[in-house]
Amino acid sequence: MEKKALVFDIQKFSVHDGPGIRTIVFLKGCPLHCEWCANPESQAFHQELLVYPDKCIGCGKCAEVCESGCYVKQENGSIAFDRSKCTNCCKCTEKCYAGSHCQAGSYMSIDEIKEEVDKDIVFYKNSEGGVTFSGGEAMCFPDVVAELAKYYKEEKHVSTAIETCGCVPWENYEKVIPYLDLVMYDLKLMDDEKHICYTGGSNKEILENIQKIRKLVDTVIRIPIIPGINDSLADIKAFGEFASTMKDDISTIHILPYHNYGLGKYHALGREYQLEEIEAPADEHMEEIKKQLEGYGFTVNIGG
Amino acid sequence: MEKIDRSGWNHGCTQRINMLRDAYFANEPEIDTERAVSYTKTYKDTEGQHISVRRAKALYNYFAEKTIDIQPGQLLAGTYGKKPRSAVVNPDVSWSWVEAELDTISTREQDPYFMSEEDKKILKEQVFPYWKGKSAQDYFYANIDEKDTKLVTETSIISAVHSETGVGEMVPNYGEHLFVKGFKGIQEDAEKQLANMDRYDGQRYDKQKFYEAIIITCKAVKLQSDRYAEKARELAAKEGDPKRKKELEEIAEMCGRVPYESPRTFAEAVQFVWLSMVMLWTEENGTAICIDRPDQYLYKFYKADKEAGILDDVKAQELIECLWLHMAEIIYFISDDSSRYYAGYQTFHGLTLSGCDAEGNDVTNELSYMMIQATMDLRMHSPTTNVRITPKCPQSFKDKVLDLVELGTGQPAIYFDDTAFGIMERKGCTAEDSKRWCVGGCVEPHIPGKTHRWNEGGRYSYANAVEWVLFDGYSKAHDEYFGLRTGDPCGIKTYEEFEEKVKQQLAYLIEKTTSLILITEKIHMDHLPKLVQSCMTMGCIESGKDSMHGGAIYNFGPGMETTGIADLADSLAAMKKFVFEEKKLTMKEMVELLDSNFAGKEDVRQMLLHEGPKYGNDDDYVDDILSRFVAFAAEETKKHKNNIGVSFCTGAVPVTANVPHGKSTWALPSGRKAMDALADGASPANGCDVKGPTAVIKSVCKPDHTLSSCGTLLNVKLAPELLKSEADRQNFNSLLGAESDLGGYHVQFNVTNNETLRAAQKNPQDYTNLLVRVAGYSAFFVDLHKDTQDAIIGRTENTHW
Repeated sequence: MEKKALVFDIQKFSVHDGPGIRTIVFLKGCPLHCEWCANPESQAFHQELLVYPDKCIGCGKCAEVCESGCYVKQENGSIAFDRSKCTNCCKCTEKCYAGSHCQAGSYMSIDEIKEEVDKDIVFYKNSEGGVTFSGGEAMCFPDVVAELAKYYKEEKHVSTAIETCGCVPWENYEKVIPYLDLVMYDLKLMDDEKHICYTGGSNKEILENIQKIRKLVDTVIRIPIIPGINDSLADIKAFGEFASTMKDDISTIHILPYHNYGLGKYHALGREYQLEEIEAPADEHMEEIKKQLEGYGFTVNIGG
Repeated sequence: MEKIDRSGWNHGCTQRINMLRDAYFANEPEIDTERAVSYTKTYKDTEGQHISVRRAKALYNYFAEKTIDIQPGQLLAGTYGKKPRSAVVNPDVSWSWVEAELDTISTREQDPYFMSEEDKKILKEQVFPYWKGKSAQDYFYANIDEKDTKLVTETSIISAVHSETGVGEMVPNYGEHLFVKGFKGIQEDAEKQLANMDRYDGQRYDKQKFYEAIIITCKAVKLQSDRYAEKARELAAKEGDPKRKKELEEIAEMCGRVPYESPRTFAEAVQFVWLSMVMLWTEENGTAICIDRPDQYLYKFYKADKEAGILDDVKAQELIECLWLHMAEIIYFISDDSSRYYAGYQTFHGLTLSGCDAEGNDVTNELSYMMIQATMDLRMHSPTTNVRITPKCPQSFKDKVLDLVELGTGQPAIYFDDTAFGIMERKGCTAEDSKRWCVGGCVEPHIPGKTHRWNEGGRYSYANAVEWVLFDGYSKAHDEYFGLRTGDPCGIKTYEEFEEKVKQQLAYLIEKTTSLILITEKIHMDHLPKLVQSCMTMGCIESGKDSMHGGAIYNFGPGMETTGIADLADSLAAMKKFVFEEKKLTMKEMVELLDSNFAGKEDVRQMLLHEGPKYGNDDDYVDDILSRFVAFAAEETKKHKNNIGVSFCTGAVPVTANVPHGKSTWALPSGRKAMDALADGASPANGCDVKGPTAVIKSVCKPDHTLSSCGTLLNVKLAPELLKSEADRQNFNSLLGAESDLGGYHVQFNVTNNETLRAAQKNPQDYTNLLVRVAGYSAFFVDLHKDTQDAIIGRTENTHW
């Protein structure tokens, strides 16, 4: 059967996830569920319905096509959405031209993905950029990513990269690594208990995988800085010390300031956002963390 | 109108420049009737004489009487009109709109000019009565029928630009022509020709009068500079400050020499440029008079003066900025209606920097950097700064260009040499001349001193071609059948048939526009010969022909500037997909939908908007349609010949015409509502490019840009945060590199500011392509939550502009 991948976005002109001008292929589904995740629609391994009520023009087409009875006409003429009945069939999105109902995730064949990513080849060539596979967790789809990465590295001669959370069996990485130029590897918390609490998974496999990967391909560590969760002196010290054990192979750390820009999408998915109270870290705080990590001899970038 | 205070500028290279910039804004644009009165008098005194001689005498007499002054602190003498930012009335070109707007011109919404009661009286008593039936505009309306009059006066469907305004639109060649000869040399050439006329030549009457007129014109040039020399001496005598006294004495010495004779120093060369610009503007109030490639022709003076120790970089920078300020003083004097096309007193005079020499070597030099810096120091709407990027352009110059882009003024415009060479060679220029190209106007390529063309002969919008097929030639916005009667659209059975009818309408639009341009062109040939322009256009003196009559080395036909190519392509794609392929709508339903301007059918409009393929997203479905129509329009335009038998030209240069053109266009199948603005130039329709700048560039580069000899214009919006880091700057360069590889011609970056971000918050549908850098990544601004948008606006607020 033809390989297909559940893709939730292909973003062009990405300039902060690897060198040069890049296209990012976002694959849907992730083993972790970090509370700060800015792309909550990336987590589930199936398509999902996003609802943005403020874009609704009241045409009522959604109610006409829905087979599950999610839409109930109100006395004032507006239409209420009952998510408890929704099966994520996303039929309503096909008729919602105003974009009030959107489908997150659609199945694309390898050729369809190539067709879209190929379009910007001239920009990759001019900028030494290329393609980045992200997610969700791209490494949950090793066969798809391996085939695509091989094509871009060996046939198109452009840079290939992945963004990964590390929480994936090693054999998945083995399939893809030969075709990668760069791995952007996330570390979220060094304390396993806290890791389980905030991401829904243990960091054991994550800390093991990075030890093997860094020997095989250029690796950059990426740490999202979440105020009150992983940004204390002790937290940063723990990251610094762990990273120091891999200094033979890793020289760069990206620290990514927390933001709540995904908030609207949680609401659109009918989910609650756990970190409403947290604010983005101050620039000065990011600078302090940068300095602290530089103290271990790393090149540290704020942002990508 | 609320007055905006712009005083206290502190970015100029010296305090002098800051002071001059403050003074610039303290001078409100004001009506100047001196030229009108003087020209009227000379015209009365010369009835019956040859028109070239009459106009040369009018020019001479005006310079004999004109009020002249030298601004405190200015290092360069010369003012267009009696004071900076004068709106000079040119009744020989047009006057009736001035009469009609006498009482509103000071208060109109777009670009008002102050008019005193005294000037109103002067115009009413001494000027208007003479010109009744005698201005170029009068001749135009005398020669078109009632329906065409309605078409050009009451609608914005098409326009013949120079029926109301002077032309301008020329680029002199300073380095190889004017600096070498000076106007004295040109006068001597004319005298020699006059002495050696071919006695058997049947055109010798016209030629003789042409040469006589050229000689008078050159004398007028000398008269102007002599009067400034005298004025400078007079001011110097009274000046108490010894430093300023010396400056005035230097001005006197310069004006005693240039532009009549060749310049000897950098300062004289700059003074030469400015005084000759004033001559061109005085001949007639036109647009797009550009000053060639100043970093090239001034470089030898700069180097020699520095070596001789008579010039340092501060002085050179000051002189450049003094010239820039003067260029910004020139005001386009146009009607309320026209001001909607050229908003912002914009006259489009500019300059081109960098590029290559005849052998193809990159010629970026110190002055290229200093001139970019001048534009950065002044941050004004003018002069337009254009940059030629060659494949060998030094990285440091690209960085300098980026510094300017980052300021968010929309400057500079960036051009790719290879495409420009392709355009010029396609028009028959030699490969060597093509390498000399520079911008003459918005984006129109010229060979300095050698090409003659009306860049803006007229305008039309592609969108009307689609509208008229759907409404059988009816312009619903104006309740009149202006289009071709192509029949009931419901009789159209296939997409191919539909496209064919759109081509018929487009051919008709082109024909209609050229027919009006031919009239204006003939009027200018007969009644407004261009003598100053002919002095500056190589070939005119040798051939004895005015530049309007084919005297130039390269004659290109008038340009047809267009808007709405994106609206046409998006609409055709929508027709193809929804009516002919998927059959979601019948032709009848589509026509009814458009006729009602989507009333009660917002859902269908949303389908057309969001499910219809849109130009600007690297989608061949619609991009192929666009490429086909660009080629068709170029081919069709080329078939039309002008009064001297050369082909008309086409381009995609909107100015701000996409707004008034939009007001004349009913609803379109693309989902665009009636009267909304159309797409500008070669850019995608507003809000329809949703895949970012790489997709836009890909789409824009699909048609062959060398077919558009008037150039094509692409605006890309970028957030300032996208240009901050070293990596960002490299990516920016890569974007340019890719556009060049793809055969692009021009790109201009709008680095957005908070005003735009706020507008985007209010009307997100118009800003769907606005990229902002949020944290470690970029996002489309309108996709972000309101609070986040506020946060970004708050953050950008801290960035200094």
